[in-house]
Amino acid sequence: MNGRLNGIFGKIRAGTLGLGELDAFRRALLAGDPDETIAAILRFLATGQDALTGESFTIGKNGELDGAPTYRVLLIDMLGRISREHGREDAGAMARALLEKKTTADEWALALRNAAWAKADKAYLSAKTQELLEHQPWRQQPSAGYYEAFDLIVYTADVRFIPQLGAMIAGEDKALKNTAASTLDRLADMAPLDVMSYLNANPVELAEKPFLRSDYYSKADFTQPAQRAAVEAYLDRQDVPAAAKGKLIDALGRPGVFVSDNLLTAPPAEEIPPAQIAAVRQTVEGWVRSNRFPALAAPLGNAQARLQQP
Amino acid sequence: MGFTNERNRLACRLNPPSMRKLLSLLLFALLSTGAIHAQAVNRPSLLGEELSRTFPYSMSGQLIFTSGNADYQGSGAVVFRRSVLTAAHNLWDADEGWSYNVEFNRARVGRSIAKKTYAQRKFVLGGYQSFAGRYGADSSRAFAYDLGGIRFSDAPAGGSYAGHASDFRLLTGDTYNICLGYGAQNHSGDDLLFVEPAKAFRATYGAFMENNSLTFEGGMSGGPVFAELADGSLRVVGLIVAGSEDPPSGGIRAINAVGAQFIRTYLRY
Repeated sequence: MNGRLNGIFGKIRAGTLGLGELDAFRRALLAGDPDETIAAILRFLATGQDALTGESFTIGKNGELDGAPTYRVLLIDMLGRISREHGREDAGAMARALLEKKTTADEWALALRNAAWAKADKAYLSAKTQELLEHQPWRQQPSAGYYEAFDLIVYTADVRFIPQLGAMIAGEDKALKNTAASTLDRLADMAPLDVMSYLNANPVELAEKPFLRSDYYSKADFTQPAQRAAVEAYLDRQDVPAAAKGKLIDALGRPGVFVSDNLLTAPPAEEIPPAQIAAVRQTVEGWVRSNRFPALAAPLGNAQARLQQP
Repeated sequence: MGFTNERNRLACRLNPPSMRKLLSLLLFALLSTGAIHAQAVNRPSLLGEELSRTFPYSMSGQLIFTSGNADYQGSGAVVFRRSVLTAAHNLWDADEGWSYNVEFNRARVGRSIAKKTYAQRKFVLGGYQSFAGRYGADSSRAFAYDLGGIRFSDAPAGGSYAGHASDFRLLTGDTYNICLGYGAQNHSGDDLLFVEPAKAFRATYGAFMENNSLTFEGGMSGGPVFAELADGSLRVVGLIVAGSEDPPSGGIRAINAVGAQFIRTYLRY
């Protein structure tokens, strides 16, 4: 296996790699003896050698890479996949070692994924994700892996990232702004109560983006009383424009969904469970009946009519 | 929900800010279009009432939606019984979040609308990386992912829908293509426009393709690009996502394997 790894590496460096040869190499690694393959990968990674593959950083199904920009990233991906499939701890241990030094954002993104697959503590993952996002050389020239690492925020469901995401959303960097806003949307899908509670407790967060902020309440599951209460607290807030509240009411029971292959998390379910729809309907009817939010009578009436349709 | 006052809607739509999305897209093509050669450039024209009501053109529709406090116009096409394919930027942006009050007016001709329906669910295809790139959302990298879908509780076309195909050769070869949408820059926005490229599209980045033999108008974003198959039938093979008047160029997001999977999974109703 050592020879095979070095052979492919030599071809990449020489530019003599044939069409489909990298994919065949990946299949061979997956089909090989895991002990031997893992040992060979670790040995190669320890040399620090690397080369560009010509592929782009592309995530496929289950967080596995369909494309790796460098040979080391390819091997770190394969190490994680093989370790996960065979219940080995090698990828997790290697990830922890790698995350002690700033190599590249792409390698860190993969190392964070491998550590998560190895059941690393979420507080540790959050801390390392924070390091990655704040490392200035990576932030100033973000690679694909840098952006993909935002999925760790969703995976760890850590709302302490909200101020940082909010600052990116308010910033001038359009790519970071878009990434941060979609991350927060996905975080609200993953941990709706935590996000809503954080935003209610910190009203200055996203105060300049009231319509965007409303989206983060639209994920609420009204079968859960605490989530319903968080939405009611938001609708009671005097600092939120009525139009933004109206937007939230329009989205209740039908929030927007981002669909993508990510390092660790899957898109939310495409269908809202009928029990959740029924809970939204009952809640809205209750609000209308009791005149709970008189200033929102019009959007609530529209929502009630919509929710009564089959 | 939606507009109750046609005059208000028109006033809003024709406000310069209400066109900013497509206008911002116009700037990008300046960066990516190569040297301009003297050549025929086709511009959007009225399709006419009869064809606008003829399948599969009649699967196209006008999209009206609210983003923040402003109303916008886009286009879309019915690709399954209760589902419409459109551009992702019609459905979400990082400043205002998800669009709302999303109304689809299928086969609209002037004030006459074959069917008006309101969105039930909205989906955007694209992960963190899709927004990456030097120009952010106005980059070919972002346009390459610019695919969104809407599901309705009512079938916009009574259960009929346009078929789709995922094959870049239907855009880059000599296959006949026609692009449709409700342009509101030089036309009213309430009539279906068409434009046929004089030459094949050119792949720019991933599923994003450009063509400097045609232009699109603001409001056509999300409108379908059809290709004629060997049996004479038309299939949706892409969407209008960007345009430039000077230099003339139109950008589309082709339906690739990932896009087709998105349609099959999230818009299969």
